[in-house]
Amino acid sequence: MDKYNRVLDQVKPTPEQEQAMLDRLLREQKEVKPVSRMKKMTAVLAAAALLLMACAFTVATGVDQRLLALFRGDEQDAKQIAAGVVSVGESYTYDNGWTVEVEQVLVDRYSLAVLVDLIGPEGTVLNGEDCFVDFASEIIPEDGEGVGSYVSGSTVLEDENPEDNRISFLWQRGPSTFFESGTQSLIGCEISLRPTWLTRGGSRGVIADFLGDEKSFTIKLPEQDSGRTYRLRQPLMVDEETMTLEEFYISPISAACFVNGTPNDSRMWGPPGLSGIYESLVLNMADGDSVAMSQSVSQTYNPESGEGRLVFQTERIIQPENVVSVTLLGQTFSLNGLQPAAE
Amino acid sequence: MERIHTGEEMAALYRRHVGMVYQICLMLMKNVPDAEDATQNVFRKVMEYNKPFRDPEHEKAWLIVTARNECKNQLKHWWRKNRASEEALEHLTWEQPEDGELWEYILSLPEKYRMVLYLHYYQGYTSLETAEILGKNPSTVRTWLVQARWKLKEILEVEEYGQI
Repeated sequence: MDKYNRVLDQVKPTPEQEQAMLDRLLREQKEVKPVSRMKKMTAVLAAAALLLMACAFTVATGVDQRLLALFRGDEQDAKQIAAGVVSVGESYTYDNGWTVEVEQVLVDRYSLAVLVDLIGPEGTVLNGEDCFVDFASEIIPEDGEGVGSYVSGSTVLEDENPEDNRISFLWQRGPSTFFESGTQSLIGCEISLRPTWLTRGGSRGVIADFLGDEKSFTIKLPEQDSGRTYRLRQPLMVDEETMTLEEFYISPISAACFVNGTPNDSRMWGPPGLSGIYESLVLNMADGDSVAMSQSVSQTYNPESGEGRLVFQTERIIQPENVVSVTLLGQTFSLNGLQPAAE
Repeated sequence: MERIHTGEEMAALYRRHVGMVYQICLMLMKNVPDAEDATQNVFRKVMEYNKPFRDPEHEKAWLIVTARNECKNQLKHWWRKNRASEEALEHLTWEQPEDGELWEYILSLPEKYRMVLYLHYYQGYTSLETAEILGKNPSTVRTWLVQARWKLKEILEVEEYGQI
């Protein structure tokens, strides 16, 4: 295997890459430490004109139409999700000349979507093609300690004017998952959002770097959970062997399942294992309709305990109380007669 | 071993293992930006890991498992759909042109073959240790090793590399 090893010997980061990754890590390490509330500078309130502009995009419930459009919802659906919406309407102009406007946040127990506008310095043209925005996002636990890992990503929204310097994103993240203490609910938490980069084509091609400025947006998330949890504790066959479907959570915009396999369980990723779970998951409604998932929000796995936590976004807004059963990897789990668990 | 507390300790651990973690990430993610992201996430997880490693071998094995899980997580995650997938491996330069071709062939192998080849032949783990790290039955891993080696040999012979 000399040739194989020779090739692998050449696969390594350049010294510059190695140093750049380390620098980013150490910088982030500094960033994720609990920050004194005195030092934490919250974003300034938006001007009245900005609020008026936001109103133009909202329907009677206060839910931004762009959020509704994401879930193919109408005004009736807006009522379903209104309790999970926080109208933020804050903006801040960073040292690099870019203004970040956080418009609304839509949240349930295990998923969070932030509607945000970025406005470049005069003369910037932003058509949104292949653009991504990243936020450092810290959920501040009540005791002020601890940082979990989470997954996040952004989707650029349709740009009505590709020639101007404004671009809108939906930035989404899953819950924080701690190695030791499981998954943290987002309900009632305070979240701190701080833009890091606006990039083109993944992590290359930085359009705007926000790291030089410490200002963050701090948002109190709603106390009310629009979803319900069912404790199932039923066997789920995965690759002809049993896992346990521990819990299933359903909200108007997402579905989440907690499964338990074995430590270092390769079925968590497949193939096929749980790799097809997103395509297979269907919520069966009381009226005979069925609702599929539009995307996977978060899939985390603790190899030590064997716990897997999977969060999906529903293809449309639903009424959780109308879900009568759940189909997962071809197996149907009835919810009839089950009482939602008290959290 | 103590858990990681300071930037200096983190940097030292990073220097010890970044080459290996990056190799695994590049081998699984197949492009440099994603491999860099995954590598950083692995070391972020070290910072969040609040237990000490038992010994250097535990530390190394933990990083291998975490790197593999991180890449699989990334590959499953929806936001990758939005990311440029055609970015070239622009940072790799080869001593010999055929090395690049072999690397491309390695990347075309199923993930299970890439990992067992890497852990067994490059990192020097026994098939039993490889099985433990991958959470697989040792006999499965031995079968994969035979199949992977056979596939690699096939391409090397086709391209007149001779014996490997």
